[in-house]
Amino acid sequence: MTEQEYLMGNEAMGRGAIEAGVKVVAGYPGTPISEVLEYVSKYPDIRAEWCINEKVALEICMGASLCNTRSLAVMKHNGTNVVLDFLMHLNYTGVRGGLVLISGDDPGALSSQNEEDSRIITRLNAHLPVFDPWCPQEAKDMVKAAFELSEETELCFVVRPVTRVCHGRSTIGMEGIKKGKAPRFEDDRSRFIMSAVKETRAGGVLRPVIRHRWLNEKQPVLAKVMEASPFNHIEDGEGKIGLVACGIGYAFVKEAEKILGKKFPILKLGTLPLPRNKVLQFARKMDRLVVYEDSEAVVEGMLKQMFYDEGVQVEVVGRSGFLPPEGELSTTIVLKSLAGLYPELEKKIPATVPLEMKVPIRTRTQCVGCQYRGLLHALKLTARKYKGVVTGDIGCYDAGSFLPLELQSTIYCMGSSIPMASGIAYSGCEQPVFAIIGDSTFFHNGVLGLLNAIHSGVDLVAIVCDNRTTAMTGFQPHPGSDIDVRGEPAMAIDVAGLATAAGATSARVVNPYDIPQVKEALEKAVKEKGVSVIVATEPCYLVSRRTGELGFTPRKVVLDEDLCNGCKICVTYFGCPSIHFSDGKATIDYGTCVECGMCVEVCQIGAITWS
Amino acid sequence: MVYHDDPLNLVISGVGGQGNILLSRLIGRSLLRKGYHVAVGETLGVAQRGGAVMSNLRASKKMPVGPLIPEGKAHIILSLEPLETLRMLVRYGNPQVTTITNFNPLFPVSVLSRKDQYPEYDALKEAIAKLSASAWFLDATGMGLELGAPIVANVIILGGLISLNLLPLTRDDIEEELKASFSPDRVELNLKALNLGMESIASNTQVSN
Repeated sequence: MTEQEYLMGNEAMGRGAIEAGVKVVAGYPGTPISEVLEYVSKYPDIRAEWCINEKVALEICMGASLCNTRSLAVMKHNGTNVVLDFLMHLNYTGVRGGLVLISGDDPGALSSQNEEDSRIITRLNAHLPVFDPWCPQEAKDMVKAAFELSEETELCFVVRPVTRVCHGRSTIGMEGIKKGKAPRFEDDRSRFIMSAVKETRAGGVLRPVIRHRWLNEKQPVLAKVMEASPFNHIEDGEGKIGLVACGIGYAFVKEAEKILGKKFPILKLGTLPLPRNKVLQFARKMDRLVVYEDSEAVVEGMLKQMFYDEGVQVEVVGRSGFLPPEGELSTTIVLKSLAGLYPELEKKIPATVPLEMKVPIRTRTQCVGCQYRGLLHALKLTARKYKGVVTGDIGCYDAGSFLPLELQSTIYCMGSSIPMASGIAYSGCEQPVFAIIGDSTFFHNGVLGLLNAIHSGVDLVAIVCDNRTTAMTGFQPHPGSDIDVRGEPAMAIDVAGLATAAGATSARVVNPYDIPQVKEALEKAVKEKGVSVIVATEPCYLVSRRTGELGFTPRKVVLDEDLCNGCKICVTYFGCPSIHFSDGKATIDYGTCVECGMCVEVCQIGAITWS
Repeated sequence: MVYHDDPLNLVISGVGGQGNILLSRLIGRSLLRKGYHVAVGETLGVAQRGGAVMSNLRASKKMPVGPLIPEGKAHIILSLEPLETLRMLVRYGNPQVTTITNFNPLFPVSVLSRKDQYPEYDALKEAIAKLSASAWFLDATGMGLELGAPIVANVIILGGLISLNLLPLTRDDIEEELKASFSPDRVELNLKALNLGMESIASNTQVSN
């Protein structure tokens, strides 16, 4: 028996890459996949790197692959959108050293701005092979197999785990580590120069067309590989309704079987392309197939196409409407769908718990002690005073858009705050515009929007929240950090210096805990022409609390209830969870207060003072 | 109540920053040592920022299990915050469930900004008790404060769980795990917390149906 370790799905995938002899691992942090790279970085012989963004990460990996070195790119689904341009060339050139892309999907958008199925980009757009694991152990096995198959087929392999696989934790079998090949660079311009050149050898056909043909000719090869893959199998059961269980769908289908005490015919699928013969063998015995997949009807559509081509008469239903087309799959969804097909099973479905009490939703907010609460407070005062519009971006400070502040008016994807602010300025509505963006997000994609704004001469205020880390996803370093993933010294890029060099009207560095200083900077910036940059610099409170280098001197604050006039500015313009409000008065919750003292500045009538 | 079902399903819930994830890891690793197949599913990403955090922990003597507990199938709900106990009961509850709650209400932002109301404490307790086969309430955060570390509320709750004998784990098993998981200077504090949790369940009024 192999040695067992208790690992998270992400760690299991990292271990799979290590066992496969990976040498270069590059990615950008994001829930649900950040721990893959963190796990790998514990192995000193591996080059593990959090990159400026996902596209850069994949490009680094391809460079390594050119030299016969196995490489792994790690990102969440939004990042896979960012790499699409490169991916649509990488698929034509193919790879040398095994290259695996882990694209973590988040069905149900548990920690994301959208719920996206990255099988669509990677399989339907790029025609790459995709593995879809149902559990952490299979995720590890798939990563390992993907490296071997990537070299065998010369194609980048994609592993697409969903959040529940990434964040699942179980015992994982550990195996030996394969030794990598010696690196060697060898030119092949006919392959790695992707350009519209006429190939004389091929009668003057343009190279992209030839490489496209190469990719198409790989598909039958992949079909054979998937036919023999251990990640697909058939289970016999009662009846003529077959359950097609894709990826995490298999976990839910197996739970449902246990609860219902009935064995269904199951086609367990984990690969794209599909194992055509296996699918046909299964389908020909069935009247109807129900496809359980997260989250779009990808396999469902492929099955319909296949059965049309093959003349197979079987009804196929799934996420296109028979099952809920949005949200995360669950055992409950499987159970309900089966009870719809077999009414006698209805009574075995766990009853829902009745409740008359209203349970308030718990949304996240800035941590108590977060320096950005001071920044958001000052920004809200200024923006409301000048009737300004605030565009937002991705990161912890985005909680300023929720209750109680309701400050930012837009949040889309990484780096969209500054360009959208430019567009608002161009529209002709004469309100000042503010864009607020975090440091990691700024480097990821935001810097381009800033350079564009400076070049085009638009009037706006760009506020960069500089806490020196990617706090939202668990404190990963970025180009503004002075350490790398292992904590070794790294060159920190100075945001204010960059903005100044690019020609911003001003680049003011402020301490976000210092509310008067932030207010003053905003007052000056909003009156300037061109792009004014404000960099609010202070390490994340959760980090400084650990290191002891706090950005404030902790001192107890007291609230004079007689002075409090119930104006609620401390709630609606500040929103610290340690300030409670009832019966028309504010009170301090000393159980959670960390004594940052920003509220002393916030209270306009002096009801909150230092003790 | 002793649960003989396999797998055993445990829901651990609370608010970001309370140490829920650590709690699930302590229990998970202790069960692993006893030869159980353990699977845990976690909802992360809002940790430390006041969002609701939840772990599913499943243990089986027979076979590997998936990490997600089907709705309505929890045996035990451990919660570091009472509103979260109720939230979990609605999703995972059933007439056999035991709940152990740290009665330390933390107000969601919607409550702080007066858009929503936090339930009256007595009514909240009553609602939890009504939906549980047996419901236990501890002031673990208060006890932790007395130890000078409110963060050990999670280990106090764990002490409560152990003394109820609902899991195939003894105090010694947890002690071994605490020694393996914490740096030597933190072990004593956590052992104190464990004992405190065990004692307080003994003197606690259980609300049973």
